[in-house]
Amino acid sequence: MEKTDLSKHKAWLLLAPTSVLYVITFLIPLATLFILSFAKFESSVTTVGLYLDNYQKILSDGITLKIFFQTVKLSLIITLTCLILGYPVAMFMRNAGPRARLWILFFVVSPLLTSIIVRNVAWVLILGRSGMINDALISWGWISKPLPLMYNTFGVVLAVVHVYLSFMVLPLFAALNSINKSLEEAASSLGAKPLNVFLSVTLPLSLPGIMAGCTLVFILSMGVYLTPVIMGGNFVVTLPMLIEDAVRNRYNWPEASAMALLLLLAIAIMIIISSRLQRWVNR
Amino acid sequence: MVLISSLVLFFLTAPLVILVIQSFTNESYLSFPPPSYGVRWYGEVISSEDWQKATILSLIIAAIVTPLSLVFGTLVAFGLERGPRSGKQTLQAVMISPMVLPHIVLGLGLFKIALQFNIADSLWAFVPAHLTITIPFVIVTVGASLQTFNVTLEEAARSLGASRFWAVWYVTLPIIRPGLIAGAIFSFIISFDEFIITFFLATFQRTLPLEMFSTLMYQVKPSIAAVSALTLAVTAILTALLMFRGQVVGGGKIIK
Amino acid sequence: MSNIELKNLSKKYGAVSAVNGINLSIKPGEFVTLLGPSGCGKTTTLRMVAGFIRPTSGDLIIGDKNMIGVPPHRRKVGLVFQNYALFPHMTVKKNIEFGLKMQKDSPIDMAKKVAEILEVVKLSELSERMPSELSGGQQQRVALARALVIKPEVLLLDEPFGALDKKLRDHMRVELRDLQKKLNISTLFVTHDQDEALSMSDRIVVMNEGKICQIGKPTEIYEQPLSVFVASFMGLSNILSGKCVKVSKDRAIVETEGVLLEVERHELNPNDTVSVMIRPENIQITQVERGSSKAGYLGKIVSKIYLGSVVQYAVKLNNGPKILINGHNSKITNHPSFLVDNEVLLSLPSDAVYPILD
Repeated sequence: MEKTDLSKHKAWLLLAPTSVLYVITFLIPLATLFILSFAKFESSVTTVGLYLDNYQKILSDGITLKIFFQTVKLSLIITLTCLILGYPVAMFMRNAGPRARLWILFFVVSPLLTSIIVRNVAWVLILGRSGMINDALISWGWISKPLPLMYNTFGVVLAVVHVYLSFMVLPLFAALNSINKSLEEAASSLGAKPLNVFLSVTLPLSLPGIMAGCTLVFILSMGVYLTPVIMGGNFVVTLPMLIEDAVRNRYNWPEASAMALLLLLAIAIMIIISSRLQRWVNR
Repeated sequence: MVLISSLVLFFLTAPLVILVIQSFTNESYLSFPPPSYGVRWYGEVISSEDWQKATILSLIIAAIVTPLSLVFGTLVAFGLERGPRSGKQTLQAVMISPMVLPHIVLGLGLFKIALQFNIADSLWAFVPAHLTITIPFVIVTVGASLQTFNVTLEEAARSLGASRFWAVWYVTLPIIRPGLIAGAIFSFIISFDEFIITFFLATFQRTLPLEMFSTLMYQVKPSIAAVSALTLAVTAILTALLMFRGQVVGGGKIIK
Repeated sequence: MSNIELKNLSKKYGAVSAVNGINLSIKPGEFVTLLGPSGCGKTTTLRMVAGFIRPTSGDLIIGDKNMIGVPPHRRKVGLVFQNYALFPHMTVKKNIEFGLKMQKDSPIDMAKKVAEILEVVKLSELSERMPSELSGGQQQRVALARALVIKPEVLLLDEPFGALDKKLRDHMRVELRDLQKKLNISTLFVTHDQDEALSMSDRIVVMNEGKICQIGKPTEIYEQPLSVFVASFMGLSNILSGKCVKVSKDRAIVETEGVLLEVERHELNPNDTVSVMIRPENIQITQVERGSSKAGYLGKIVSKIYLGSVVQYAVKLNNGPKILINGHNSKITNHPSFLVDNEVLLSLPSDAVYPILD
């Protein structure tokens, strides 16, 4: 039965405007970056060619690679934290009635639609040296000097988790929701205690959602620029910050492009690992 | 578990609530709780030329991006849903792929192109950039509505003399309106709140997020809390509109 | 009012032929049914007439115009879907008006025509209701009204009564037929239900695997099937394969599975292979009377199924095949002595046996 009776030509016509846009704003920029990453940058002059200078520099200058791995480490910490905090929320949502669920969803989704700046501002006001927490603790006499809650890994992780937690909760919820409750009921009727039911039935079956959520949060964390800048100052340096610095302060496009491609590579590897794991889990 | 969830949800929303409360301070510094309350900073922000310009720019961009994004994205959704079956999955993945790209890389690339064509720091750069990241959301939301739409309704309209276009106009679009509205709201909010790409593209012009950033880097004043609270109000209302019209299905629409 | 002609219409999907060379002429005002099992191509044919499927080859004439390449909205067809396809966001009135609006009728004309058709389908008081507030039968009538109000050249119905319960279905069949006759509109009706086809049609087109097996009046299709497929599709029957052994001027003797049956000769010649069809309701089942010379075939009852108004027997003829008999539940046919394992006599009037030359 021909339900989809739009001819190939007409269908393509509908996709054309967006495709043209994407070529201009997506493909060409990426291709340009790719080409530039192989260019040479010497005394403010960029020569296009096939030079591996940028990549060599990245691999050998000691700093870039170090910061790259720091970014990866940071992203992993963020992802893990999101998982630990997000799983209970997803479970809660799943077990809640429809009305409660909608409300929880509102609280989970609305941070997503709030400006990252706003959320970072909120955290600065709470964690800063003269922020809410330090103010309170000092005025209560619990501490005499402000606690370093910002400008370090702790502050960055806290704020980024706050920003991306929802991206973990939603896929988790979707996966949990698709688990048939009768499986868990069967397990408990066979004598399994609630913890065992969770470990042997719920958790394994929610693995696809866990992986989807972790992949998503990892990718987002690797590429986040703003929050580490605001919450980490110059004390926490990430790859995106290096990229920004290379371009806007040193006008070194080739180097920035190479680092951007490194970032994409890390993400691509993550996606491949994740899909391999997914396939292994579905065996 | 309920305890942890509640704490987490509290963690998610409390900072924003605290921010809003702090914005109503009458002092020239921020503290919680504020020693005195007032709308002094709101007044300052609303009357400040810088903030006005930034807000207007953000609104203009969002106002242009939203309808365009809706049209482009809906066309794609129709093309995918009504076109040939083979290759639909791959094609769909391709059309929403900008969603997966880190914005910093997108911003970098777009900046280079914009420089090349001398359109950086202008609407000619901002609008296409924002469109690239909003269209995938429209494709997903409108696409979801179209999937559950009963095609025979369109066929009935066509059998009654409506050309494909009019059938869609009079029958399909009104019925998938929830998906369209969701797509529009997503587009508006994403464009309005966008930071990093706009950061790369702009030099002298400032959108609201950019203005907030530069203020933040310069000095933490209560004005930033006031602006944040205002922006928060706008997006909170839009989100509530989105959700409590009963349009969000079980698992949320933001997942790919 | 005009002619509808399907000339050698075909639809291929790759190597598969969904519809293969359909030739059909629908006379003005005629009610033609496409009947067949699922997958036989009847719906594909209908959708080609409607314009939603492009034929791979062949011609389609509606009202003297060739419709090949013409999009659905420029054909004047009225389509009624199985799921009614009423626009959920419009009132009954607006639903019916839709086609008129596309025709750019003036508001006054629209109002008049809508009121008229609502009268005809007896739904005048419901014009401001939304489809979700109507019952299945009412929705069906709105769908009909919507298709008819634009005065189409042909009315196309795709298993429209499938979603209704039996009583409503029977009722709607009569209503639709009456309406169709009154408006004298050419109609192409698709169904897999032979009762429906038999009761409503001027002509039935039996289809199988994309081809037409037989076209004819209901009586012809039922009583004079041209193939074993048609015979067995149209209700229960006994179909026995055999050989013609003797002929006379207008009669012939067929030997089948051990018994000899007499049939009208038709075109049979000796030694022809032939299938014979005997409709279960045409066989008489009577008691065996010892010493009587009544003609017939002796056999034993193998099963007896009570179906209320009908009693169904399976009788194994002595040295012959098993025969199915449907008898009205009367004292004659439901005689107390007709029990399993009892002997009975089956008599066949000569025109009860119909030869099929496949």
